[in-house]
Amino acid sequence: MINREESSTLWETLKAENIVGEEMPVDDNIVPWFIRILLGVAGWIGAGFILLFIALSMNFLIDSIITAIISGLVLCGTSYFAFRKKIKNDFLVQFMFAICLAGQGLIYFGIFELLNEVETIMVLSIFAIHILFFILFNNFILKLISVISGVSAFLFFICSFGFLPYASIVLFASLAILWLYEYKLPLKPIMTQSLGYGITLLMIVFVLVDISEWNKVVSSFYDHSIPQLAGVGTPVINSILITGVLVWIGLTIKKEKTVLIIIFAVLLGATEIIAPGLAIMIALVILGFAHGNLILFFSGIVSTLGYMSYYYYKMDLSLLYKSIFLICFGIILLIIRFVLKKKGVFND
Amino acid sequence: MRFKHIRQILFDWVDNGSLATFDLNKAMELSKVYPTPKEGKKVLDIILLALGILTLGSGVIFFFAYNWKAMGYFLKFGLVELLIAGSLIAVWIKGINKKSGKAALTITCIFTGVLLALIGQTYQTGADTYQLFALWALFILPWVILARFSVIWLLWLLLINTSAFLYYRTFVFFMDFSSNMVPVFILNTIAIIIWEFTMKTVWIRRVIATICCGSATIITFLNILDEDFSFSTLVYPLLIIAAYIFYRRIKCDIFILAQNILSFIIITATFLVMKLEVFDDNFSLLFLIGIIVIGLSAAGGWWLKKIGKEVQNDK
Repeated sequence: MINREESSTLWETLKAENIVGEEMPVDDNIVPWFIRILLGVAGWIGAGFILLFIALSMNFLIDSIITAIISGLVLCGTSYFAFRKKIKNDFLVQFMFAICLAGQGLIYFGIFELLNEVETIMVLSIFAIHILFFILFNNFILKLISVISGVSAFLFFICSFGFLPYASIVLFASLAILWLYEYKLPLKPIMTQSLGYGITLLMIVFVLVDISEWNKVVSSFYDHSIPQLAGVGTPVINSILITGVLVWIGLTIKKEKTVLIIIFAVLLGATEIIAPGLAIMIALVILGFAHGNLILFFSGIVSTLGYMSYYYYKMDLSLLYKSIFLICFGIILLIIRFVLKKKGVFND
Repeated sequence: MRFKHIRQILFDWVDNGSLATFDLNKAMELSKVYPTPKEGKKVLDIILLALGILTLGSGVIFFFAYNWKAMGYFLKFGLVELLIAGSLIAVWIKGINKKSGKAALTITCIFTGVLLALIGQTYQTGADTYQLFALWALFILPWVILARFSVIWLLWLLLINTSAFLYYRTFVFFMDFSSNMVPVFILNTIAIIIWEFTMKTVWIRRVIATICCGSATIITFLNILDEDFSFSTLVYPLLIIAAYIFYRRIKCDIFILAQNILSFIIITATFLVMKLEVFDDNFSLLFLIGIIVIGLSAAGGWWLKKIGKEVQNDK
């Protein structure tokens, strides 16, 4: 927690380096996280009522695909102009949020009706629309929804070509780029944060649901079984790719101790063969800590703990082999810690 | 300001134009957001230790789960009792006044439940499930009192809640979910009253308040759907008023006020839907209800932010 005196001191420090002006901005926008959740949840409830109203009272809007899409665009356009004006009135912000969600619902409906025979083009359209929404709407929750929906649509698209077994690598590499360079990217924080958290959330959900379930979801969406670019070597390929990303993360965070980083990355990456996703959960903890991001740090911890429960019920290996793997992995980590302590690595 | 961290402060300064986007990285470095080498080593040490213990411990649990059916009764009971004894030894070594000792005692309390479950599984006496939780709460009570640790009190309260809920579901209200939540509501209301006069831990007070408010909301919501307005006209308004008086006028807790506002919004929307008979072909009223919901949330948000500013200025 930071108070006014600390933020003033921080401002003076930045002013001394000539990266800020003379006058510190007055912060009158105290919005704790639980108030944001209150506003977000209530906004969703309000949007739900408005959507129901449109669906039940204004049937003419959804009778035709064109009117549905045009109405959706009008609603989204209205909220775009409102957010562009940076409205401060809470009622209007919430109302525009609800209108935008209702508009998006109408557009989805229109696209679905128009393109449900050509699923690949449908998902690409949804992806394109959400890129547009992400760029246009100056609201964190709307950007987050755009990221989650858009990236999900993109994943559906690449999965149609059989890339389902490698979807986790795509997500992991994306979130590694975002979190490692979040302060250096030429994007406003609202964009990097919504991108980062959206992809991280998708990553966690993807890892904690068995790939066979994802296969069923994607196959039922496309109404036919999809090819899989998978074989006996897929776990090894995934392991190598994840090791590569982990080495890159390690070397970006800390340029010294290269050998130690590579050893740790190889060890974690190797777990991908028997416990797919565990290395990614641990990487979230490291990424969160490295950039002082408490939300990411604790998300990684909670996800790692959640992964253990999920791993217990995973059906691809017997409990005996899983227990042997975990015991060996645990012992290796404790040995590494012991060796590093002996070498004085943890001493100042 | 009180609720913000350095990162968020700097992000806000970028958003309002006070800090350039390309200067953000330098600002983060100057603000010491990045961990120092000393902090990095400490966290690496903790990660290796915690992860090592987690995976090793999980591996052991998985191993015993795999061999559970093949294990004899003596081995099963011996194992659990060994865990209880081991954690009690840890409490004795660390001392009950230290955090590590209290954490070890919390684990002992959890293992006690595991032992009772094992007894229930092994000796099929026909006992009801609520008795497991009731006995669990009874047996760990001396430790709970000795520990003077908020987390154990919360665990104990959760056991009492579970036991009460299961008892009423088995013998009194059966599958009537809203009625089964009434004892939960009563217990947690009593708990929070006692907590306010005895303990200081804020986050546990908020957890109990959340359970209290959540149970009241569920009861009222389901009752309104059943067109039974007894709870919603008598008890629920009293709860909202009492929460306002205590957590606005006596002790200021914006978190608890926020959850009460959300509860009020949900109940108001439900009440309007049922009273106005929206789904009897009065669909146009859905728009009105949507506007009311948004209006209430905006008003609630504005009010809470105003309170936050007052609290900040007082400090």
